[in-house]
Amino acid sequence: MRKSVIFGAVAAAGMMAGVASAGTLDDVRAKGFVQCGVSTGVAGFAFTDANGEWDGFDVTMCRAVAAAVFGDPKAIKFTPTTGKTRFTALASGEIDVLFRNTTWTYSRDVDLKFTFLGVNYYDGQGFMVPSGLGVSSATELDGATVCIQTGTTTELNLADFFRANNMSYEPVPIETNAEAQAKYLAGACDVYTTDASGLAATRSTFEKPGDHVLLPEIISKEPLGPLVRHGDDEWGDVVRWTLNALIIAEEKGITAGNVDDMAASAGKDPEINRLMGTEGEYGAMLGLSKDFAVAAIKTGGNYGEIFEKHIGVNTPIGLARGLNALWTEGGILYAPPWR
Amino acid sequence: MSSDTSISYVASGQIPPSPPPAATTGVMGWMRENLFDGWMNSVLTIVSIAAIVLIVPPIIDWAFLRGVWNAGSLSECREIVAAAHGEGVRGACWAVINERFNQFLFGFYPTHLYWRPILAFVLMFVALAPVLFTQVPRFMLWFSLIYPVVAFLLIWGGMGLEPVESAKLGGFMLALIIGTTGIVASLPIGILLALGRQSSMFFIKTICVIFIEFIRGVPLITLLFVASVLLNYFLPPGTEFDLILRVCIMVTLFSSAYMAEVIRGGLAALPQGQYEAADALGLNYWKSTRLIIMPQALKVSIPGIVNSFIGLFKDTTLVSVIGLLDPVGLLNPIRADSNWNGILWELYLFVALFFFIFCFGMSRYSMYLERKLKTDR
Amino acid sequence: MTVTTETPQASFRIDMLWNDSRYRSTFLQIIALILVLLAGLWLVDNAVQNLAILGKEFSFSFMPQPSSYDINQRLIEYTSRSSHSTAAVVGLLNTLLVAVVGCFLATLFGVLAGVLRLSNNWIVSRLMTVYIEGIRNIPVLIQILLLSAVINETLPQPSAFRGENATASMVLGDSIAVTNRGIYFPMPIFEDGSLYVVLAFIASICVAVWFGRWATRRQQDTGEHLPEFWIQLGIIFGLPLLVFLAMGLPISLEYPELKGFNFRGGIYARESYVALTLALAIYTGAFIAENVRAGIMAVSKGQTEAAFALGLRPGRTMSLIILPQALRVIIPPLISQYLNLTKNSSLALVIGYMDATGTLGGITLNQTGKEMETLLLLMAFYLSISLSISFVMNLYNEQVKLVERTSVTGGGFSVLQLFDGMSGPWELLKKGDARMKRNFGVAGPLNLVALLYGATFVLMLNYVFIGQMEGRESYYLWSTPDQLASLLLLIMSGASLATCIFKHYRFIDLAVVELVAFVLAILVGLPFSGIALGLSGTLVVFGGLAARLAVIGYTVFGARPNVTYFYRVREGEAS
Repeated sequence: MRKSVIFGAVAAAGMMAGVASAGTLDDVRAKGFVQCGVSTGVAGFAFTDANGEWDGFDVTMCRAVAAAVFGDPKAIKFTPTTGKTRFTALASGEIDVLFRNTTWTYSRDVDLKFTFLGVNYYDGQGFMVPSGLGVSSATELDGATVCIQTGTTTELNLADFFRANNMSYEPVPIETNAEAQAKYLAGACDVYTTDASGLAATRSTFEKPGDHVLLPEIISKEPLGPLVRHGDDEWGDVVRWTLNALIIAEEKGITAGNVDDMAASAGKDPEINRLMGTEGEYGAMLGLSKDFAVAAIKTGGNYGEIFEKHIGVNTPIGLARGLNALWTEGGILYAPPWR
Repeated sequence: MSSDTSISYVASGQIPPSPPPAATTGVMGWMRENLFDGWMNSVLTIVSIAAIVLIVPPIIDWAFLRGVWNAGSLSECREIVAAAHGEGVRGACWAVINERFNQFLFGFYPTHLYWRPILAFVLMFVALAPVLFTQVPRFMLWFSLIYPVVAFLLIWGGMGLEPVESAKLGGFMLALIIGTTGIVASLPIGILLALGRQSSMFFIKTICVIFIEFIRGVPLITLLFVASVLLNYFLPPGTEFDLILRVCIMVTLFSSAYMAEVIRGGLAALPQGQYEAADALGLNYWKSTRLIIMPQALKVSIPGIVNSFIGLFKDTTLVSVIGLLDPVGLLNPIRADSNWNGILWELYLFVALFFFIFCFGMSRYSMYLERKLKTDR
Repeated sequence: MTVTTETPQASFRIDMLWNDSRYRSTFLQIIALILVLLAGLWLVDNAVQNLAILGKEFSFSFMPQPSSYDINQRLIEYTSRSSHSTAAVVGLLNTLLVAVVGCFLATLFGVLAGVLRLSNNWIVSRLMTVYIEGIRNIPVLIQILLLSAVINETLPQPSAFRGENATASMVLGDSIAVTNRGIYFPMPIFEDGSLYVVLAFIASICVAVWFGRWATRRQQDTGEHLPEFWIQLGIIFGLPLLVFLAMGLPISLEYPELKGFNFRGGIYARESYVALTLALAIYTGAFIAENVRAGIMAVSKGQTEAAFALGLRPGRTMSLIILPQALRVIIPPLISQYLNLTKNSSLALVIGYMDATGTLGGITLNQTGKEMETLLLLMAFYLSISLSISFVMNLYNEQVKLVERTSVTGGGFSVLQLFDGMSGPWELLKKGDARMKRNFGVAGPLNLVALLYGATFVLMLNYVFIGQMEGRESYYLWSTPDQLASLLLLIMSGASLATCIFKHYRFIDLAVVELVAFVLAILVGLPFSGIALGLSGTLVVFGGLAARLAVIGYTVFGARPNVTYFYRVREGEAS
């Protein structure tokens, strides 16, 4: 009549993963896939389609990391995390890398003990209001009700901004983007504030996007990038240089279309050769295969292609490159040289 | 001598009884007695009828008469409703349920493997049968014993079956897994705690009381937070427990404290004479508990146990707060899908209805059990 | 000649440890103790190792740091520059607010639904069944989310109140605004002289209660029946009203007005607070309705029939005969429903209400990454509320236990036994027997004892939690003896207060431990003049010691047998 506890213990033992002794790169190799932490659903950056397949800006870059390690962009599993659970998921080892519009800050780097591996989107915090409110600047928001996602740098920046400008506000804490949308559209808050990219993504999903306006003030620097745990230098290098590979690919004009040709044989540009693996042993230095950058670029194209496909001006999100253009084209995207 | 006293009337037979006044029988009579006796009741009746008339027809309109059952997205739904009933009219878009029904049931479980959880579900009833019904042959109990392993293999895979990782589990399947694991695993622990709480050994009693009072004093959501962020700290460095396993552990601990209280109530209902008779027969503590006390106590507490299960099943919705994709947690990815952005009521009502049907059915079953157990005493 | 010999004592053998029942229980307990200690050590060791690997350390030093986030609903002064501990206190107060108002509303809904369910009006009882069964079988999380969505979507936004073609308007003569951000009520403003009105109100309540007792006594003596209820109502409202008019209307109302984005002024009940409280009240009300129904049905039908035979009408039967008996069955599950409501209020974070779980276990946990410390504090908070309420409920249960005939001493060890030599042995009686004694009842002045412990409790609470904000060192930075001594004094004075109010016989033991705690606090050097809001330190110390010794002395040696406090009676009077 009573179920035996022993069988439960056997089941439990069967579910335990192996003991981690070496770094995450070895663990990932042993597992055969990368465990990538993403958000629960932000249009354009990370979302699931009706079949449950993940897609988006951050998702594609994470797939590029998987392709760099395994040669297969499908050797990856996604863990949706909320603003609350993302850091504990990374710290506890549940995920290997977090690609989740996370801002690089001092306290996250030092206090929470994570390592940021670069910036894949330079963003800033903005405000969105309905145009019917007749507000044209963030300094006119005294006394407004503001929808704000808890557990983010956004709420700290908001508090600082309003205090610095001697204004008061009424915060309405929300957990997810979907909730924020529902409240904002119903008029339960006057203003929605989050990263400007998130605002654009949200606005694109409204019935009448034209009825809402993004205020001109960007009140903070939000460099969004991937992060791993402290002390994981090898694994961190893999992620960092995969990201850089995508940026350099755009600099050099390598696209998903022509990357195979470029990789087939050594060409005139030595940096392209080093990137494609036709020259030098750069893959081996990271413990990866020679053409790991080729596999990464083949996943979704170079940085510009990924940007245009998911959040570019031709998508409903409609974000211009702005700060995220290459340094040679007026933006600040600047990858270290591949040498 | 009187003459001429003519008898005015002699009854030839009995007058047949007349029917009661029209206003006290039939529909009118029933209404007078039940709905309109006294001014207070009449007022209440009128108010209730007004409330029903105001609330129910618009809901039926919205949900059924104007509901759209087949569409690809919310905007398509709205177009269909506008075309059929005019602009500005709202109709329920049940198409989202239609499209995502399997997701509600199984989460992101691979579609071609649906037969496995369904088989596990059916086998659960087979495993429960010898426990609840004494007519079933006793050798079936062996199947009940190995059922947890069988179910685990079926759902998570391994031993020849394709493995499915925990992150794909979701929906009502996840709620059922957590609920049944919690209740079944907490039953033996609860029995031990209840026995320990009324033990004469001071230390054992103190430990049990401390554990029970601690668990019952703390909300479930803090225990779930412990499961998701803290439990890993208390395990040897480097071990990695799956989140669902951790949640099942905490839910089991939580439920065992409440189960201990239910069983304690059952033990208290036992007359003192049973203990004394067991002592007189020379049975030691464990024999008397196993053969005499526990069977009776458990029989009395079965309705309480079923109620605990209902409560636990409702509480499994809380795992959505720590990121697991139970039916409430699934609402977020569905609403984040660009097709269904902005949909709200249909999803909430569907999940509420599903839980209502399940829990209401279980509570009716528990009442039936209670009646049946009372009469055969 | 008979010779009695002693039975030979078997010498101790190792297998007697588990075979001989004299040793078995101790042996098993020692084994259990060792196992528990080992398990505890293993867990703590793992935790220490894991924390070291991650480079974190276990300390509460983050609590006095500035929190840097704003909280919308705050019952005390709080800005984003305030410390994390102040944020935690704000969260705790928010939880208590939801709990108190929610319990009150839930009782209201529950009693109404329970009584109506038993009415013989067919429609009403069916409707109540639908409500009760429907609400009980849907998880509370879904109900909270649904209600929040209903408020957000169906109520108008503040801008709809504006302008020429306003689609929404305020109710009750432009005083209450119901929007989808919350409900705005007028707020009373207390100006000079309003203190007298408040004092008059308190005095009028006392007068009304005293009048009720006097009227009952008069009815029992002479049989004349006064319209008690209306006179009491008149006193409660009339007396303060007179004072209010006499002082020149010192209390005015501040009305909410639409200025800018939102309404300003007045009391603001936020949408999250309203949704949470209402949803919890409705949910818990359904369970309370079932308890009420069970309680009323537990009173045997013979009581109703006897009441009818005496000529009592249904209304008076219910209030004089059925309900008092039903209350005994209703109150214990009612208290556990209150506990459930308080624990369910932790779901506040799904709709953005900043209660304890939202501030301490939510934002503070996230921003500082100190999971272990914050979760421990959070669990300690809920645990202390649950244990206090359970403790008080046990005291209440003992007081209303059915009066029994048997008389037995009980209770195990008590401090009183130490004084048996001086005052002669005492005996504990059950309430039933105690009632038969002369001088049954507590001397009136003894009730003032409650004031002593109540004042200590409130002042310590203020000192430890609420007073530990700006300008004062946080509780977490005090030295360990300070922390322990103040916590001990707080707990013991609270326990003494509760047992004193409920006249439980354990009061004397708790009062003695409280005296020990007080002495400890003096030795450790707690600043008593600061705790007592400015009274002289020596006055507080010596006065407190003297008062406590007096209370304990009177309790132990008191001439008047204070039987309802402890059902104790000097031996000799017990027969």
